[in-house]
Amino acid sequence: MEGRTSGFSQRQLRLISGLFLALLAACTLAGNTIRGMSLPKVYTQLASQGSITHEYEGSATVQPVRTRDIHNPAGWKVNQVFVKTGDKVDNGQKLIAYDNGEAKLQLEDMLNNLKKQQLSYSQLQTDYKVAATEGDEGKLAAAKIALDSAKLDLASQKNHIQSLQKSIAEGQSVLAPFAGIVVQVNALAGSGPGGLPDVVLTDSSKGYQIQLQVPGDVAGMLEIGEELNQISLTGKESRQLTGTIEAVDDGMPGAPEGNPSGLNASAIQPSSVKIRLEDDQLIGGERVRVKIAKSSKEQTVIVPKEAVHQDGRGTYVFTLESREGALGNAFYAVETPIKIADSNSYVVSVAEGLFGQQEVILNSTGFLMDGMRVRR
Amino acid sequence: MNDRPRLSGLILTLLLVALAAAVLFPIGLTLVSSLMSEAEIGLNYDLIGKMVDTANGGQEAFVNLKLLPDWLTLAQYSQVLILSPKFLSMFWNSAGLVVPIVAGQALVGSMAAYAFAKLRFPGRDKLFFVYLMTMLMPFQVTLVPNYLVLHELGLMNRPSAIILPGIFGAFGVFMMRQFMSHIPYALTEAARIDGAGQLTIFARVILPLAKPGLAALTVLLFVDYWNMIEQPLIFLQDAGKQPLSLYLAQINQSARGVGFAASSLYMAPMVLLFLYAESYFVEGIQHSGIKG
Repeated sequence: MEGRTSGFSQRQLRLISGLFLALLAACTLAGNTIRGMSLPKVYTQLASQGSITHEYEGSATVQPVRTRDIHNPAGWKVNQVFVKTGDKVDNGQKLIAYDNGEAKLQLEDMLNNLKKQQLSYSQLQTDYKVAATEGDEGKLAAAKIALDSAKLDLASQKNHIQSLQKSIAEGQSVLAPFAGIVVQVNALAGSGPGGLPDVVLTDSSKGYQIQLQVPGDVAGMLEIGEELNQISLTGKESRQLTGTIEAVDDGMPGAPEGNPSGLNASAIQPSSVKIRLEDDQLIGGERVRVKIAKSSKEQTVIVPKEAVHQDGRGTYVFTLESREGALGNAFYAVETPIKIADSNSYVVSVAEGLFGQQEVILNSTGFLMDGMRVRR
Repeated sequence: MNDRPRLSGLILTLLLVALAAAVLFPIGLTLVSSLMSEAEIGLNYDLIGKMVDTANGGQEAFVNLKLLPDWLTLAQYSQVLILSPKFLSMFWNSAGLVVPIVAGQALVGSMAAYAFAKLRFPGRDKLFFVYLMTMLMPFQVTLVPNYLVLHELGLMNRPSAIILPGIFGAFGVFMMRQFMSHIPYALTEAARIDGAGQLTIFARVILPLAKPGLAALTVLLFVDYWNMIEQPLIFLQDAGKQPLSLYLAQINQSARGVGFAASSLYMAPMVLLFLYAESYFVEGIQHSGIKG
């Protein structure tokens, strides 16, 4: 005691030791809290092997494949309408009767005129015979010309009459050209011809279709002739329908097919898809809801979309790397460039850069940079 | 005539200064380096002795040791104390092993030493010789029997595998016996005449007089067990139970800064204990006759 040489008193040393131990104890007890404040916490998920599913949901209106506008054939007044909208009609069924009274009157006049012409023709024949008997050359020639002229008039009148008779026969009514459904009736009894077709008919034998604007990523996986069964009729009587894809019309001709580095490139350009519906009870105009879900065939590494970032250099994800150090395992965020093969709204399929079971950072409590230390 | 002792005194002083510098230099270097950044440590140590094309107009120069940091940083200490729980967890493991060992051996050793030094019984010196023999044998020699015994007792991978053999170590007995043998018999005889029992004589007469010896024993035991490597390495397989002495061995080259900071903190308890018990320690060493 008396020989102390270090220059510290016992009291000072006790104080220093006490502070040293207190510091260590404080760091031990509050270490987790301090670490939490100083390192960003990350939320991770393992990259998994799987296929990517593209989904589409939309609604459309049922339309007939073929419709026919039926016009007033002769421009007469409508006498009677036999059908109304929604009626099913058979081939040859009478749809509308027209008023042909005026035409009949005209025909009668023409028949009377014909009779008159026939009478005057007989007179001309008699005149010709007299001139021949008299032997007067001049009279004979004049009588022959008059006779020939009357013959031509008669033939012409007969033609007119035939034509009128035909148009009366054809124009007094219109018949259904095929079995179908009346979708529109514009004709009104007693009214004359308007600009619109009197009746619009759909062709039942050709069936019904819907047309949808499907995002490119889903449309690209559809095949013509493929059957879809997630089509449901909405409205009063809802039921399931089946349909067949008839045509897939790519949105923009000449546009590149999917951009491997882009996240949404293939989803941007929608395609027009025609689906033929098979159902006897459809009449057209119904609303249907369509769901399409297609999975890619090949298995790739799948990561959630929120884990994928883009900048000027390309697309990348942050993976979590555990490095063994003097202080035990420490975790670091590592920027890993990837190549995207495909994506939907939730996940991204990675073609290059990642392997299954690699831990990918989804989210963090702070800004992340390559090589930054983080905590799990 | 007077110049001779003055000259020899000077030479002795210079020799001691050189010796002290040799001892203190690594400690000082450790403390200084613990305040350098990892990059600066790399520049400092990786290039020593090499010809380096310095920024000075392309001149080549030898790189020497840097004794003062360009930038003071506590980043390494924050790494050790805050960003990783490993150092602190191992520090408390060490404390949990060393404190019971030192306290236990000081108590057991001083009682046994009292018996060897002040009591007369048949075979006393022979028994002490056996004690000495166990002390003289290095740890590696007794490793296998120790392992088998601990295994049979079911103590493997438990702190008591280190603490129990530590408490009953022979060094404390040896050192305290040496110290107590210098205490005159007259004192114990006087106490006995006054009617004191063995326990009273030990606790009231011998122990207060043996304080310097106990202090010296405490410091020596603390240093010895704070630095133990083999016992925990073999008997404590569970990394969560291992003491701080194994920590420094796990530091690799990429974390030298952390190593320096950890070493500085590692030294601190030993230095503080030594300073606290310094005067007792010197006296204790002198009287126990184990100096040099």
